[in-house]
Amino acid sequence: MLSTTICADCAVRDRALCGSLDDRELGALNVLGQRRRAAAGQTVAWAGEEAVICGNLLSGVLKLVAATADGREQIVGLLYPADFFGQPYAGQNDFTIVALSDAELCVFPRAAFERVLDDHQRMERLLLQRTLASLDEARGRMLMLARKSASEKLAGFLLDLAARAGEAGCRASLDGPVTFDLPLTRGQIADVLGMTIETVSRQLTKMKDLGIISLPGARAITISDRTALAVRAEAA
Amino acid sequence: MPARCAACAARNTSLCSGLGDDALAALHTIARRRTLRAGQALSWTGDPAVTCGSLVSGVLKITRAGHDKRSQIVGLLYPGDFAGELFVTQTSDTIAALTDADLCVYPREVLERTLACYPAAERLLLQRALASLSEARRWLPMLARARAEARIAALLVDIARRCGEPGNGVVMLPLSRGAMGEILGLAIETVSRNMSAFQDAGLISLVGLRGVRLLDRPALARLAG
Repeated sequence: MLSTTICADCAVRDRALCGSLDDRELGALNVLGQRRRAAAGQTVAWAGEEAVICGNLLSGVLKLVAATADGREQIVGLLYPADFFGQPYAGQNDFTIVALSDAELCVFPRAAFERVLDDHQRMERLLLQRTLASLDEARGRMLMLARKSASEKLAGFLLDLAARAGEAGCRASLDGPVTFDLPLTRGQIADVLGMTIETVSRQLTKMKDLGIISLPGARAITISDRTALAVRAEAA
Repeated sequence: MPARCAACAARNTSLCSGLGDDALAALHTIARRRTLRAGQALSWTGDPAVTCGSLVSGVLKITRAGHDKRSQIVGLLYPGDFAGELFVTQTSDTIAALTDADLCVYPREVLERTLACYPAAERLLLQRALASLSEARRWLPMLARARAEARIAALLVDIARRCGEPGNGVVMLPLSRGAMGEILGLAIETVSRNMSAFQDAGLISLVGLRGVRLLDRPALARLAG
């Protein structure tokens, strides 16, 4: 009875690392896990501090931030629901983790989580696969930051967000325009893409004038012409 | 222990480190030796992902290509590092040798099955992957906006850390000035100019074409941020 109810109300159970575990195995993690809420802007972990927690993101968006020598910040990764956060086997955090929106986390003490990994090889493999996928994404980001123009960067980023919004976005027909709320402010988008906030705004206006997107509200965006957006993302 | 393993300089830093004799023998059974000349590719973007391996000696570069002709070096591999992509059917990056290189290569699917039988090896690979991820993310601010001198200082410190310094303190750069520029998104002239400026400021001394001695590592690290 108990085993079928473990984590039954978790919105990301099947997509998170836990998807690799059966009910009995999940019990071991469930004992360790603690639900925690983070308000938008709240810091979950600080760079340079001892890495004490890791876990699954249940809802909301987190940013991974590296501090640069000139005191500015660079977002080096975004985490979405069902993503794993934190650094197993690390002595201290390499990056600061901050909630971009109100977020809900399932938090594990790092050392205890590592012991669970010892006993559950399938979960370890899933973590390995996710880590390699994140590495792939980070390398894509390197190419983007080093070589892409502002219009390519922003178009590519919007496509990525649209894909993430997926079924959560609102659309009238399968191929029709999709509308969703941007999880980031213009300033945050600028930080992710390594450009100024003015450039972000100018590029959005340009895409709007071309009929590729429309901006129905402060945070809402409609992708009207996905094909044109894709072409723009890869223009030389 | 297999003879090649006994003589392997990378055994204590690679996927194989900390493995018992049985696991080592299992990996050795599925491995074969592959040598690359400088400039030669191990795999190309878009190829079926069939091989991966441990780098025994030499330095490899990982290049990510855009849909157009532009590309970016997104990683360097040193002895002991794992080369190639697991759990995918198609490679996303081109891996090529910067110097002559020696590898132990494994068929990808066979390696995946073997790792499942030897948790210690898989654990090591996980730790390696997590470290590579942090390293890649650390480079991002660099590419986004750091000044040229900060980028070059960071690369020098990183190479010295990874390649190690022999007794005389001279680090042999595995990269030409052009390749350094390619990694950092800088023109070759900018790289050369800044290296000379570092030398004039007493931070490094240049020894021949590829040698560099780090005279003031704390100052370089501060420059790098």
